[in-house]
Amino acid sequence: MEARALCRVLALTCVLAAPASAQWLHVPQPGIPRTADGTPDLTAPAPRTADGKPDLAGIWRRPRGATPPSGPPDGLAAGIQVLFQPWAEAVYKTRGENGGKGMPSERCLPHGITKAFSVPEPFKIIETPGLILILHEEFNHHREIFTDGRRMPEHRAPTSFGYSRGTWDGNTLVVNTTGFVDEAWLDFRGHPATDALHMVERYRRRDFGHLEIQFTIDDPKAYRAPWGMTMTFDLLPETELIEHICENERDAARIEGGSTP
Amino acid sequence: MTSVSTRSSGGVAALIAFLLCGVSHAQQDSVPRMPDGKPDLSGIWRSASNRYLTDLSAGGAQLSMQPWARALYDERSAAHGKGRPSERCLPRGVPGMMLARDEPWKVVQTPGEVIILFHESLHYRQIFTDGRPFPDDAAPTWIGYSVGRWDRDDLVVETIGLTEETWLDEGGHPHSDALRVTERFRRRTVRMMDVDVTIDDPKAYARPWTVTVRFELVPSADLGEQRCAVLPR
Repeated sequence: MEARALCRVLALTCVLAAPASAQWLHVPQPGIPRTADGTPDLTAPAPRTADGKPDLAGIWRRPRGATPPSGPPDGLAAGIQVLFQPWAEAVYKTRGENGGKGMPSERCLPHGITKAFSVPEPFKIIETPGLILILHEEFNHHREIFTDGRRMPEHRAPTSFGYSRGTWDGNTLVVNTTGFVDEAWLDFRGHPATDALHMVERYRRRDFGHLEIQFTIDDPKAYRAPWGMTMTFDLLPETELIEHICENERDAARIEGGSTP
Repeated sequence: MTSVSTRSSGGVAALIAFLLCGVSHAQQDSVPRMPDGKPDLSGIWRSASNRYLTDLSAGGAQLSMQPWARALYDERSAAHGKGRPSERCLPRGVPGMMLARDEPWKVVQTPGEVIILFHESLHYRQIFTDGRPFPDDAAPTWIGYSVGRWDRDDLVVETIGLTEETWLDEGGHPHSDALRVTERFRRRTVRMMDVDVTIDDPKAYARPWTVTVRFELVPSADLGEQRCAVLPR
């Protein structure tokens, strides 16, 4: 069952990843730090915006074989103990037994924050005064993080990525997000989340070529204590995202055929 | 007498100049500007109607469809647009994804790039304004590859690389892989923007054709998210 579950997740991921690995676009980028031989210097200091804050802008991707993984056996909770509420533990168990079947992305619904960051496809951060954008290559989905001090609108309909507000704590961007839809998946393994989820992300660009995001998942309806993990990302310099639209209504048939040895 | 006349005509000229400058100044003031002086198109916008979503040639654009394009359009019309990509949560492409009145989009304008965020399916478009050329090998995609430049106060966006699977409108006007879409964004006032859309696709239409689509500013700070769920077969 475990192996089949893994197969299914990998099949989904690989089929979805295929267009991204097909080719890279080369986009010359003037003004980036370079080593003596002219290649981008990924260990140069992190750039800063006009107001002196770290500039998180760039195209980022998880290193190959990155931990924590997102699929079986433990998803984003690899190596940590998660204190489930009883119903959430039952849901988590069932999702594992079903090999990830029924996850929202099967129907091309957005991954949500942690699941979207956990895929192999890159994402792009664009930092503007008052607003930070995250453009995910996978599914061509976007996310907004407001840094202009606004409050969440009242009577707002819940969304997959929630409503995000960011503030700076020294050189770290701290993003608080609420307003999520219910019955979400935090990873491909199936850790559930509810509309009570409060996600905190701490973004730190260590140097020119490296970004880390520390996630804290605080969802008292699903978990008896907050938990979290840190993901690291490598810069992809001088390239551009490649469009990837979810066409799962077609891929589903191919996956059924393709994953059977 | 002569001097009076001169002064008088000078006064009229000054008055005319004042009026002209005053008017042009008022027009400029009505459109927000970026630090570099270009119009700021930022905001949440939506089509003033579904007219062009239904039929991009509405309003009398004269189309000379190639025979295959005519046949495909007639077939789609006979089927009342059944089978259009948006039925399956797929993007309407360019310009289709701009045209639905119920699906607003948000412009975020940065120095080298204009990003359009869509309520529909949470999709986005990137329009590169940093002077880069089109890629040599733009593989066909649902949203294409867009570059933009400023022509005075108009943002002129050209898009290529659109998959033939997209329809120009929900009525089913087809296009080929030779399609080049030009969108000329012109923010006329704080609350109104016109976009001239030119369809240049010699394989499907003998001549390029242009329509002007009006968009309205949406007085909301929150774009929100439309969730379109497909059912895997």
